Amino acid sequence: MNADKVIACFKEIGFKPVVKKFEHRIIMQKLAYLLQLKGVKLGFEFNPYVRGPYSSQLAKQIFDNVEKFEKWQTSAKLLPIEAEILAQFKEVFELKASMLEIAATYLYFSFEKKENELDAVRHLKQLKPFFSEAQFAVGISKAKQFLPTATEADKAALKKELAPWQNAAIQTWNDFDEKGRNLDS
Amino acid sequence: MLLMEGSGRDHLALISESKSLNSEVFSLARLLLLDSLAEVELDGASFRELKAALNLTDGALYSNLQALVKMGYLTEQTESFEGKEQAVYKITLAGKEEWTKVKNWLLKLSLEVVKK
Repeated sequence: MNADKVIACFKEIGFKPVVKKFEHRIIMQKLAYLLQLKGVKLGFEFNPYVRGPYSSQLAKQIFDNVEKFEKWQTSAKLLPIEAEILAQFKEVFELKASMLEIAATYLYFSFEKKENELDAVRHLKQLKPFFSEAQFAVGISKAKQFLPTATEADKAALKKELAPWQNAAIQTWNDFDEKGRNLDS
Repeated sequence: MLLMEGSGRDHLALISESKSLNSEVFSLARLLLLDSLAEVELDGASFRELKAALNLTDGALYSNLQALVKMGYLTEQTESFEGKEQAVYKITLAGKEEWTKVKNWLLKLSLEVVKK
């Protein structure tokens, strides 16, 4: 668990949390989850609770280090790849609790649980029926932008597109014997 | 014979232990509420989150939440979320202690059933 790195991420994004604010604590949880999913090594365990993906370990760190989080007190340095992920985050998302909640919960079902599009959306709407269709549309689209996951249809299209190249490669391979001699010549 | 005596003693102990539990928390909705809120102990959860996750009607959820608040197991506060006020519930220390007692007792009960 690396609370210092979480603080460094918040600082890089420009998010200065006020821990006593419920809404800010949602942003903190969802932000850390999304960054970890994308590859920033924060080391927190997230589990699905009534609030969607949530880390009680992170909650404890936040409440134990309120001042550090609120004043961005950290000595942690981000790796270049992590800084790049944060830049992508800033490009895709606004620091809006509802958007992050929808994106994080959608990605929990589609990316972590590997559910197909329909099931992931159905489960998301079951857990968060209080959001509007417009909010779902934006949150899901942002989630896909941030962490694209290939659907079965995407995979089939890709396979079709690559098939001629694959066949050509196999044909070329078959044209040579085990000593590398061209059988056609 | 020994096994029967052992099993009998466990069962009596289980009955005896049940007397220290608050029987008013023994409804599915209340047990689920205590369990759900113990998991998000520090942050709590809003009425609408609990309603969706536990699939309860407004009336059932409200009355069970109020009963647990009255018992001192939950607190209710109003929090702001994107400009709107909403009720957020958190488990108290007493609520956590009661839930731990109930959980341990239910575990012993299920082991007793499995033994039979």
